[in-house]
Amino acid sequence: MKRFAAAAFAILFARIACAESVTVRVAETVTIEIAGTTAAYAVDPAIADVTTASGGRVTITGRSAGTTQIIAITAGGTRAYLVTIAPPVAQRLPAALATNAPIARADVRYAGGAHQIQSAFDVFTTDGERRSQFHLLNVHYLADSFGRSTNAIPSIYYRTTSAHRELTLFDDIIDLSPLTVRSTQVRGVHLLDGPLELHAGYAASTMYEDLFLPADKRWMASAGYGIDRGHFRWIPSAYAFLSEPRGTAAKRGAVASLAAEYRDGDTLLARGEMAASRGVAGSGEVRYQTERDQLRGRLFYKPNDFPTLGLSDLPGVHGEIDWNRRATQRLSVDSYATFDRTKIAAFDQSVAVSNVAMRYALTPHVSVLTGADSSVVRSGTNASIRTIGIPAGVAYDAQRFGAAASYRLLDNSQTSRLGDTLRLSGRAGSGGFTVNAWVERQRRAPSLDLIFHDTPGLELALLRLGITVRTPEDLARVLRDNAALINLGYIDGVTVNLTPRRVQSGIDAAFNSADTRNQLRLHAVVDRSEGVASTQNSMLATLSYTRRLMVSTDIYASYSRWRTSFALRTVDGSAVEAGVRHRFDGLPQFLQRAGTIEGVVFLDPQQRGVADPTTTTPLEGIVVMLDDTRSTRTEKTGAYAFRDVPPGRHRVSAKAGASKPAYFTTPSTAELNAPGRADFGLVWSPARIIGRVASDANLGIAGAVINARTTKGADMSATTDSEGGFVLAGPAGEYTIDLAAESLPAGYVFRGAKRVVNAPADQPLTVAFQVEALRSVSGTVSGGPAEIRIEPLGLTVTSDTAGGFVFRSLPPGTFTITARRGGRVASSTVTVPVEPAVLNTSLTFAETAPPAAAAVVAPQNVPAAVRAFFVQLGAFSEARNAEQLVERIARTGTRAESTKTGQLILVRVGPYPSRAEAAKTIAQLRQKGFDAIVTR
Amino acid sequence: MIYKFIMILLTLASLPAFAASGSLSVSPAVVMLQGTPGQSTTQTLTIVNSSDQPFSFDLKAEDAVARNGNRVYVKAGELAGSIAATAVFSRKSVTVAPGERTNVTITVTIPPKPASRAIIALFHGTTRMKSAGMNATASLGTLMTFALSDNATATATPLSVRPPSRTANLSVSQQLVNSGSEPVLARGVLAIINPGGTLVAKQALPARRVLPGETFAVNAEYGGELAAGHYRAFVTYDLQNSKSITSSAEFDVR
Repeated sequence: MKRFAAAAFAILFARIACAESVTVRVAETVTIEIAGTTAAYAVDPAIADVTTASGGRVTITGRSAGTTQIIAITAGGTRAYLVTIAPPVAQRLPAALATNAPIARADVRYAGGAHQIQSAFDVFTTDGERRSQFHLLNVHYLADSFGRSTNAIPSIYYRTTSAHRELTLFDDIIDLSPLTVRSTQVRGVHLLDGPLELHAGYAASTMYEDLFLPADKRWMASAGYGIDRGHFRWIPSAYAFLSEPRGTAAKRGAVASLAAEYRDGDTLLARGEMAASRGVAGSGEVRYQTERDQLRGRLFYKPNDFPTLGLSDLPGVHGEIDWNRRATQRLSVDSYATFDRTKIAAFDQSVAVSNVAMRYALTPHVSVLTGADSSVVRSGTNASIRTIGIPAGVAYDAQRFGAAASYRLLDNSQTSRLGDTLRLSGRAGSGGFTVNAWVERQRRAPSLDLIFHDTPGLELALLRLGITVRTPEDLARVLRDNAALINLGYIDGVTVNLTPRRVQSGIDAAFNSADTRNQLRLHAVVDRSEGVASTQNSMLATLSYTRRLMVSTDIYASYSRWRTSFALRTVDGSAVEAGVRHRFDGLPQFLQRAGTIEGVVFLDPQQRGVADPTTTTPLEGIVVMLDDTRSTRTEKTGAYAFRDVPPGRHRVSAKAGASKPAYFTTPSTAELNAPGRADFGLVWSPARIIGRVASDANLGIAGAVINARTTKGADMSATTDSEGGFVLAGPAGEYTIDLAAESLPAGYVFRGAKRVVNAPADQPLTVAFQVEALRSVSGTVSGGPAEIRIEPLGLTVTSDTAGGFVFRSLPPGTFTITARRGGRVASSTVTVPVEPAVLNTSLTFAETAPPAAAAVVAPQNVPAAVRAFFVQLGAFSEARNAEQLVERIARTGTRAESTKTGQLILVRVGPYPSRAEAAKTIAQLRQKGFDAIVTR
Repeated sequence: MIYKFIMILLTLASLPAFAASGSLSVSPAVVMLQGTPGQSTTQTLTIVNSSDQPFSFDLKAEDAVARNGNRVYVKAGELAGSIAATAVFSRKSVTVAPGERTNVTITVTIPPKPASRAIIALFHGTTRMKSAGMNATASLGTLMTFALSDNATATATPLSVRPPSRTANLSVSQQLVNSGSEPVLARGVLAIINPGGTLVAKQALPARRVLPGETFAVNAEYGGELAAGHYRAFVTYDLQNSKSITSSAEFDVR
């Protein structure tokens, strides 16, 4: 068994150290060299941790924001370092937003492909809870023009938002309902005020056509009101579509609708709507979300001649459902289905797509995929083309690398031979570089092509925007998200071909520099479709570059190249775009709205913290500071003002003067926006007189009233608490203080005089009052006048003829009162309390026989071998005195004897066989008031 | 019969059992402030009544000072430069219903020459209740400390080390005194260095809030085992404002 023993140790004295400083960020490390360091530790390891390595290297790791000390132990002692851990670099947010200062953004871009210069300007301001935004997008045509103008304003709006209201002038994207207005830009007036929603204005197929008023305006107005009842919200609405431009899909008319929403927290949202006009339309939507399931479904039906703006919504029947389920920790199932039936002018399409995909994670990095999908496409009265696919695949996902391979077997109704699709994809990333690439080979896969109305360049433009339709899924997406192309008649239909072989490949690569100032992106797609009779090739590549020139200024440029060839026709081209984006943290002075910060400083004796003409008075000459840079003094009215204060957050503080001590009844500093108001309340520090009223026995006297009067005649008073304490607070100065004797409890008197004291402000003054408790003992002594003495006070009085006597003004304690008359003594013991008391006692002389000669006992013949112990109470030369003592002792029940030895007469009790026995008797006699000693 | 009314100062950590079930709490328990003389601050205090009976309180402030190394509370205004004397409460008294919470603001101004560096904003109970057979009231408070300068310093007695044995852990002890003029929140750590100069053990020590002049005892045990040899024990307290105090002692383990 191990044994530990204490050992001698040397003690080093404590050292106070002021630390050198090191700054590290959270999750970052820094290594410093401290010569001779053998060990180091952090005082708070939650903030920073430290490790040591040879050569005196100390590595500090930041854990969380804060400061702590690192102690390094060297041969020579210890060294302290103050480590400051800064928070991680936050997303770059304009500092002005945090201080409510306005910010602006300007973006100028040259679009070579469209031969335009686009200028965008945005201003954001915040004033407390109210936010405002102004947006302007202007396009200047370099090559084309519309009407008489080479400029257009595709987008412009001014919006103010507060807690319950939002007002937008000019453009707003309205998304009310798939039956009426869906994701459409309307230029007019838009108001959201609590449950009320109003819109009035016009929409157009494009706002690019003219400076402000496009030719094809479609006027509309709508009003809706939300009524909440428990979990349900009812929304009756009315719409008026007032325009029906020729050659468009817009239809004039009025619509009344009633929508109902049901919400169950964030889990479930169900919405249904019925609309009536020329015919009846209906829609439904459900969203369900839990930890395991995410479900979204929508279905709507709208007749062809239903009133509409004819832009972003299509008549017909449309439905989609999307359900993701995390069945287990490893297995997830994604499924979706869509159905669209649309017939507008020449566009007559029915598309149904369904897909179930299952993903099973074999390991945290490897997963396998399978599922099934089907699609049905029918154009006009042609036969439907049905496709069924069975995919299978495997994917590997890690932080920096990922790869996937999938194979899909296809059964198409147009051919008896099975088709397939093989897709390989990969991604990689390291530092600031990321790349995604994919290649897909299809054999005998159905391929859709849009039939474009005679609009040159549209196909290419859509290709550059990424709007392509090759598969039934692509078609369903276009019908959902780009209905305007169909409404506007740009797309007449879809053809379905069976491509024997098609290879697509694409790459997305990006590079971000470590300092985030440079960003380079490459996007390229190559498509080769080998048909029976011909081959179509297309290629689109875009290289873009962005650089941050300064903190608020970015420049960007992009180069696009495209090429498409079909049969003997080849189209290729390129476009360059370049632009500059600048952010203003704060507007130019002439655009800013300066304001005034003002307020009052008031004397607040009642300490309510609010300026009130009935209870407060203005204070003149108080210094008020703005942002610690500007200062002013209050006027006679107590008012102050700072004018021409820029918008934003400011700090106003008042300074209590040093000439007269004071303190604030409101915060001395206020943070507010300009324009704004801040009032400050002050109260002069009072003089305080603190004291205690106590009795002569130091007992606190409760309920006593102390009166004080100033030299100006102002009166104040205080009442003592249970411990006799009191506090008087008032203006500094001279006071006359007095204790109201009539307020004292019965039995106490105050014999003191008024006092004059000088009480300075903020310097407490202590005053004490002592009162006297009236304690007396009165009594009678039998037999008439006698000398009465009270011990140990040593006071003596003579009783009257009736034997009465009294002792007054007694302190608390236990006393013996003795009466003497003619050699006779009578006594009693009284206990006087600390409180006032009137006690009474009586003294009676005992009846005794004339004093006989004291029996003087001769010393007994005690054998020499036995010498007894005696308790001796006195030794007298006069026998009379010895007699008196014997009588006194006899009255207490103890028998004593007088013994003459030599010239003295001893008064003794005994004999006792031992000193201890004698000592007991001495103790008993002492309790009776007699002193004695032991003798032999 | 005279009933004695006992005032029990409650802390957030421990609450006596009331005849009424539940608890009372005040937040925040501590407010640490920095400022300069002449400045004022306004803080919001929240009292929560989780019991099943209403409680009433009078609001008052007292100065917290150290006398003979111990913290004592002095009535507002009794000290020259009393910070508690400048306390202005938004309400003089509150009554909190069962299950409810109430907010009270306190504005204090730092006098030109403050006598203390801390005050307690006290919810002084006026509701009598039975506790252990006696009538009692309950009071709770928030400690507000004020640091007016960087003069945070401390002195310590020599570090006393009792080496580990078969029947006892390693223990260290010393007394620390806040010898500066500002309150500090001292965070400490015990470190053991072996003969080779390597850190072999480390243990956090409880943080202590210490007012100027206040003394507190450092007593800590290290529960791990140490091989036989010669060691050095270091106790460091971080006083903030880049200051720390380190004491050390050597000891042998056999």
